[in-house]
Amino acid sequence: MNIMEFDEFKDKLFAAAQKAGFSDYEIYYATGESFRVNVYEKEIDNYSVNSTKGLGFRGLFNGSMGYAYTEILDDNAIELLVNNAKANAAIVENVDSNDIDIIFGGSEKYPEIKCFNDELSNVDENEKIKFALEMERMAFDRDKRVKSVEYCAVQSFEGSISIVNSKGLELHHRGNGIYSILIPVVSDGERKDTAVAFISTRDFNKMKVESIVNEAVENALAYMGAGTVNTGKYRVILRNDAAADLLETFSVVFSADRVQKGMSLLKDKTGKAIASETVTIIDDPLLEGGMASAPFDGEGVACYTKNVVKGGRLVTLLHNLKTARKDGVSSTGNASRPSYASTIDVSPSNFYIKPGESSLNELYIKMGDGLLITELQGLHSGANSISGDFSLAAKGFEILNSKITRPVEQITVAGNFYKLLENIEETGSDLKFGIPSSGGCFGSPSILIKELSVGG
Amino acid sequence: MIPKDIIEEVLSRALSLGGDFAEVFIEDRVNNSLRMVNGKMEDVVSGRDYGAGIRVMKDFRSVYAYTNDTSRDNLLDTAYKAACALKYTKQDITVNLVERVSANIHPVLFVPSSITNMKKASIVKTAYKVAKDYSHEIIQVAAGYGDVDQKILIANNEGLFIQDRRVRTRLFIQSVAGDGIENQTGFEGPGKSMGFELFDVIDVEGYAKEASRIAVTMLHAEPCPAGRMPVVIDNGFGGVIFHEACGHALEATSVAKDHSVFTGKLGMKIASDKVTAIDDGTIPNAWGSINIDDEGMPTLKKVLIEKGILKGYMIDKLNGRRMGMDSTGSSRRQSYKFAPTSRMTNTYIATGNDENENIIASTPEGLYAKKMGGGSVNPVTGEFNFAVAEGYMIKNGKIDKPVRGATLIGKGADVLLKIDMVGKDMEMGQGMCGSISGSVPTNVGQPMIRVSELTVGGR
Repeated sequence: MNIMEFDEFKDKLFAAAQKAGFSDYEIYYATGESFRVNVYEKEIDNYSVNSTKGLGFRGLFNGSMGYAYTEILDDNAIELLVNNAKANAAIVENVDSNDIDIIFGGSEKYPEIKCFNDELSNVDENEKIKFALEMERMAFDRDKRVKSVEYCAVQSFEGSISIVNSKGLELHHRGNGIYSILIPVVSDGERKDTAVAFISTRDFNKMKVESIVNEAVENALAYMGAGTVNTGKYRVILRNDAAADLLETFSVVFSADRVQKGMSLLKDKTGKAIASETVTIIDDPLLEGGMASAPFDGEGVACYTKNVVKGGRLVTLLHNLKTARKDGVSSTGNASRPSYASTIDVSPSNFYIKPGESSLNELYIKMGDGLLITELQGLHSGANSISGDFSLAAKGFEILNSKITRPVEQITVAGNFYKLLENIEETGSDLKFGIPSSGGCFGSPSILIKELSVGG
Repeated sequence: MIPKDIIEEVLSRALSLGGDFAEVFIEDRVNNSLRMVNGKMEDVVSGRDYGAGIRVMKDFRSVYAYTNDTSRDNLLDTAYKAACALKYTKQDITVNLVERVSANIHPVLFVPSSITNMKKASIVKTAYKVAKDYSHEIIQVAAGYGDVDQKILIANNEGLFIQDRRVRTRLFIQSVAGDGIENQTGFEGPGKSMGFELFDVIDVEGYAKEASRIAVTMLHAEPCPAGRMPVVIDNGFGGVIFHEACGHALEATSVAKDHSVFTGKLGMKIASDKVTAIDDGTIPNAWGSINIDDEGMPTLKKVLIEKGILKGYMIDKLNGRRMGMDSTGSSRRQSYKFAPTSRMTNTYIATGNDENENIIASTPEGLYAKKMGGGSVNPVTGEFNFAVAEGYMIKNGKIDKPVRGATLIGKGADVLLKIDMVGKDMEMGQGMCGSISGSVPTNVGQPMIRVSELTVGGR
C-alpha cells in the first residue's frame, strides 16, 4: 500500500474529484498528537502517547453535497472517498434553492489569534508526570479523610486543521492545550464523597497543584454528612460550574439549524425578550486564552465576537452558510465540524453568560433562604433541549439567613430552560469555564434563580 | 491486515525495555450513516477508520499508544515509545504467534457494503413517513440509519493472534410533537449485530409509530409530581436502571481500585432475593454481543447476582491483575484510540415469578415508568439518575394519567435491595454506553420490576 503525504494526496484527490464530475469540492484535514498520564497510588498507572490524522472530503454533485472520510491516505482511499461521496450525494435531497450546501470561497479578512503556545509544546513529559504525581500526593496530605484518588491525570494535545477547496480557499490553523483533572475520594469511614476539579490552559505556568488540590478536596469534604430536603419550590443559586453545565446542555437551542427544523422554541424570537434583563450571552471565538478560540469556522468563514442575547433580548441565532441563506442573513461563523468524520453543523465557540457585579456571598444575601446547587447530574438524559424541560439529580447546600447551613444530596431539581432564563434575578461576578468539548467551551457566573421545583 | 512476522517484531520491541505483557490491536472499520430530517435526506457520510493501538504492561502499570500509520517503521517506533514510558531494564524477548480462529456466533447475511445507498435510504424514508403521518401534532421527525463493519486483529506476546469481524446495523427514529408552545419527544432505536437482514426481523413501521405515539402522549401529559414513591419499571430499555445503578459498579474498572460500593462483597447479599442479574455477550446477533473481547478472549455468559447474592464481576486483564482474578472476556473499547477495559455487553435482570397485572394492582399509589430514557452513575458513591421517557401515575392499583419530565434518582446499593417484585416478560433495549474506553454498543434488559421506594424528580 502506498501511503502518501498530504500535498500529493490532495492533488490526486482533486484531480479524481474533477474527473468524477463534482462541481466543487473540499478537503478538511486534521492532525493531532496527544499525551496523557494517570497516577494511582504514587505510581504511573496509565500512560498514553498518540498521533492521528484524518481527512474529510465533501463535494457538490448535481447540486447535492456528499461526504466521505478516511484515516489512511493511500490510492485506495482516493477511490473510496470520491465514489462514496458521489453515492452519498445521489441520495441527498434539496427541497428548494434556499436549502443548498455551499463550498465557500473565503472571507475578506481573517482575525489573527494565537492558539498555539510554543512554550507549552516544549514542556517535557517528565514535568507533566511530576505534576500528576504531585497532585495525588498533595491531595492525600491535604486531609486525612482523603482515602483514595479516583482520577488524577494530566493530558496535553496539539493539533492542526487545514481547509482546502476548489474555490481557491486555503486555510490553516493550529492549537495546543493542557488539562489536569483531579477526583479525590473522601470518607469518614462510613460514606464516600467525591468532587471534580480541573484546570485547562495553554500556559503550563498557570497550572498550580495547590489550587486544584484545594478546590477538589474542599469541595468533596463539604458534602460529608449530606442529607436531603423536603420536596417543594425553592429559590436557587446555581454555582458557576453547574450553571455552565446547564448552559452547555441547552446551547443547541441557539442553533439556527435547530430552529429551522422546529427543534428549538426560539423560532421568530430574534429581537424579542427571551430572558430577564440581567442576562447577556456572548459567543467569543476570539477570546484570549479561550480553549475554543479559532480564526475561522468549519466552512472557512472568518470568526467574530457577538452578543447572542443582550439585556435579555435575542440578538441573533448562530448560523452557518446554509442556515444563514435560508434566513436571509449572513453566516455568524459558527459552522462546526467536530471532526473530519462529521458533516457541517452549527455550534458555539467560547459561549458564556456575561458576569455581573455580585460576589457569591452577595448572592447568598440577596437570596436569604434557598438552595445553592453545586453539581447537576444526568444532563445528557434528564434534560431535553427540544422541550427545554429538565429534571436532574443534584447536590449542593441549604442556605438559611444568607448562610450555608448544611450539605444536601439525593435531590432533584426540575424546570424549563426557557423559563429559567426569564427567572434569573442576578448574575454573579465569578465567571468560570467548564472543560471544553467538541461542541465549544461554556462559561457562566453563579446565577440566582427565582424558583425551581426540588424533590427530596 | 498486517503480516504476522511484523507483529512479532513489534511485540518484541514493545517489551524491549522490561514490560511483562504487550498487545497489538489493529482496526479497519467502515462506517455509514444517513439521516432524514425536515422531509429531506441529509448528513449522509461514509468513512474508513484505520489504526493500531499498542499496549504494554508491567505489573499494574499500563502504557497505551495509538497511531494511524501502520507501516512497519512507524509501528516499531510507536512500540518503542510505549516501551520507553516504562523505563525498566533491557530484555530480549522473542514472540511466536500462533493463529487462532474465533467461532462466529453472530452470522451475517448481507454485509453493509453489499447494499446500495438507495436501499438504505428507502428504509429511512419509510420510518420518517410513518412517524410523520402518525398525527398532525408530530411537527418534526429525525430518522437515521447507521452501519458498522469492523475488522480487528489482536495479538499479544503470549502467542495470541486472532482476527474477528463485527457487523452492526441500527435504525433511529426521534419524533417531536408540538402545539406551538411546547414540544415533547419520543425515541426508538432498534439495532442488532447483523447486516441489512435486520430489516427482515424488525418492524420498522411499528417502531416509527411507537416513537410518535410516545411524543404525542407526552405532549398531553401533565408534569410529574416530585417526591418519594413506589416505582414500577417496564421491561426492555427499563433495564437501564440495573445497567447504571449496579452494572458499572460491578466492572473491574471501579472494583479493582476499591472505587465501587461492591468491592469485597463477593458471596454477600447485595440485592433482594428476587434479583438475579446476568451479563451475556454470547446471545446470537444481539446488539451488545461479541465473539471475542478487545483483548482477544472469548466472551462469556456471566451470572453477576444470583437470588440477591453477588457472584461475580466483569473483569479485564489489567484490573484482573490488581484483583488477582482471571479475565471474564469483558474487555472492550470504542476503537484503536482507546485502551480497553472491563465493560458490559448484554446485561439484564432475569425473569421472575410475578404477573405484570399483579405488580400494578398491588401498588396503590406510585409511578409507572413504561419507557426509560438514559441515565448516569457515580460508581464511587453509587448515586444514579435516569430520565423517564414515558410515565404514568398509578392510582388505586390502576394505571392513571400520563406524566412527563420525571427523573428517578437513588443509590445503587439501596435500589437493589428495594426491588420487591419481578415479572416474567424479559425484553432488551439497545443503547450506547460511554465510559473511559469510549462508547460501546450494549443491551440493557429486564422484565417488569417494582422498586418499593425511589426519589422521583418532577415539578
